[in-house]
Amino acid sequence: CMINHHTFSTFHKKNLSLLFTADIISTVEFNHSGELLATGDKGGRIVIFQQEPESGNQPQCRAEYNVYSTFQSHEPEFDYLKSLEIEEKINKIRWLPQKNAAHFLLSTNDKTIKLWKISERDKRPEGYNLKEENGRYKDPYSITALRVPVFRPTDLMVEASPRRVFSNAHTYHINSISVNSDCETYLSADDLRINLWHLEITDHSFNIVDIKPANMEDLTEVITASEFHPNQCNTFVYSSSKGAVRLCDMRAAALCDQHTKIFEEPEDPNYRSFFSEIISSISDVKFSHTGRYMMTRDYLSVKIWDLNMETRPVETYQVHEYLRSKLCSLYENDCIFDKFECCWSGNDSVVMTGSYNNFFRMLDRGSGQDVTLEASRENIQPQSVLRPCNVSTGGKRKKDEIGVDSLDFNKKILHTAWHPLDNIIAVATINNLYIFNDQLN
Amino acid sequence: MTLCKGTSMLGRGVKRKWSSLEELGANLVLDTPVMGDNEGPSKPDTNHLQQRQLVLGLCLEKLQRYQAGMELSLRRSVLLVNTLKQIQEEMRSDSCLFVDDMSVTCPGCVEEETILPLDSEFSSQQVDGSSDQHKPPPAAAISAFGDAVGYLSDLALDDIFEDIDTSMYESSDLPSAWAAGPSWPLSVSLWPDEDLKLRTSSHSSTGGLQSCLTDLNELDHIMEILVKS
Repeated sequence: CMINHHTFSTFHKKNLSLLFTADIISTVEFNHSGELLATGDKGGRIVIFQQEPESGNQPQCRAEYNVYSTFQSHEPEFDYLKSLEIEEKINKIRWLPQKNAAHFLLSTNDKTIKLWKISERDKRPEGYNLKEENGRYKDPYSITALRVPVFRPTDLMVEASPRRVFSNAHTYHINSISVNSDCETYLSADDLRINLWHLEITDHSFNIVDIKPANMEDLTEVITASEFHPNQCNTFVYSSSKGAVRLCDMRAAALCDQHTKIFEEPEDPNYRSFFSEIISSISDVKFSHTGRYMMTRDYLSVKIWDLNMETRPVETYQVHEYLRSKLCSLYENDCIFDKFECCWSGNDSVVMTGSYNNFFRMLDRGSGQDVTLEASRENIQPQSVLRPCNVSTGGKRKKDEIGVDSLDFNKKILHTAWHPLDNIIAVATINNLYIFNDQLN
Repeated sequence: MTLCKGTSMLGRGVKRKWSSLEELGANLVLDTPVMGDNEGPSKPDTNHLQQRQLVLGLCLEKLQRYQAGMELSLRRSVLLVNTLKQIQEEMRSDSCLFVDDMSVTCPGCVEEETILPLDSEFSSQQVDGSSDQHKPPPAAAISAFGDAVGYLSDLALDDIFEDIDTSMYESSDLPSAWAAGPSWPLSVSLWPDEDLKLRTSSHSSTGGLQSCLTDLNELDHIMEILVKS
């Protein structure tokens, strides 16, 4: 399916910024059916959107999602030992595959992971003996007969309740969580260590990767992301700040410090600069749905790796090559440290990632075509088709092009998600969430 | 050569305002992507050295500023320190090159007798009329940078961190780290061993200095209680 035939449009775009009250969106994730979309923000809140049931069948307007549940997942804490606040910002959300009527997700801040149960309640008990309907206690002497409370239908209520709290296992900041295909375990990764948990057990976890050097002065590399293989429950990968991805097999050893494979591309000597290492730092790693490929995102590019070949990626896509000549400025204003995520389409044929100026990029692996789109309120009318954008680097600027120096580096799209079964995408700018669907011909 | 306004090579916690890319684009002539330009030693080298100087200053500024009370991002710190090390290595190898092979000099440098005092390289805001005047500044700069490796460590120790409260980062590693030589004085204070702090707090004995301090504190505390009662 080529990009040309799948142009993205909005349906019934809602102004979702009101719901976020200027909190910064920090993570976006569809559940396994795509019916639910969870977002986490800097204030520790989670907002879950649900696809409008009828809209799923209407070809042009599948992207209608309404708020389903809102709850406070994490609160700010204070680490008295270090005299530092622990941010409540939600770093990652990962859904568990659905087993029954309730939905479960894992959410994490820098230090603590929580398992949340989201369930619907559409009945409530009525007719208590000791309490009035409004909750006030009855005068016991006024009760003359006993009755059995009955369940009566009520308005739908969605409740989120914390079922497990996995804490005190990470000295450093958690950057990733990943649910295993066995649905019983999951991993959590911080800058230097990766732990394996059982979903039922909160008071201990297994350390499976530890890259902390004996002498902290020797530290030169940190873990930036980690993920379990989608099908092989013994396999996981972790990426590093030096641009390498290590694949580990848990059957080989209890502590997977020895990698089974290491995926690393040698540096292009033509592009060597003071910033080479910083821009090679991998900000996200994602397996394809099939599990045959793996995608990495570094500052300027997206690379697709075949798990059978470690020496170099099979595909490389430039996200915003025009920034290469601006690295010094981006270093100065700290943008060079931004961590962009990436995602696969449901059938793995297209990959997507964000950029600056509220641009996001879709890269079609089949045709080799790519497109730059903008997520912005000004440009979008409901049911309008997003027009591709272009960034010009040369002196001559064509009509409808924007110059590199005019880009707004405050407007960055770090988090994007793709519906697992349909061409519906969620794109988060700093404060707003945009949901688009493609136009089927 | 001009740097951005307000750039201080070894800033003392001066917070620089966000400047839009357009502003920077006008001022920064240093965004040269490719270091492999082989037109000859003069122009690319100048650019390269200027950029190196700028990046060095920014690195130190970021590391210093970041320490002041904010939670450390280990990834960011590691990347900054690695960049700093890379620059330092380059500076060192440049100075070695100059010192070891006296016959190899940049054209136009031979007559340059005076070695620029370090102050003019490091602490002046405007770096620097002297660079403009010589065709390739590297010669003077290189020798200055050569000395700077040693100077930098002292400077780093004394000047950069004097107003930073490093009491949080006291650990038994500290004395050995400072003593370890000028090569890397900054590392210990940047990412204290978090686990060490946790272990020490639970009073298991590691690191002589830390446990001594803990014991002394306890002793004081006990004395206080005894005196009051």
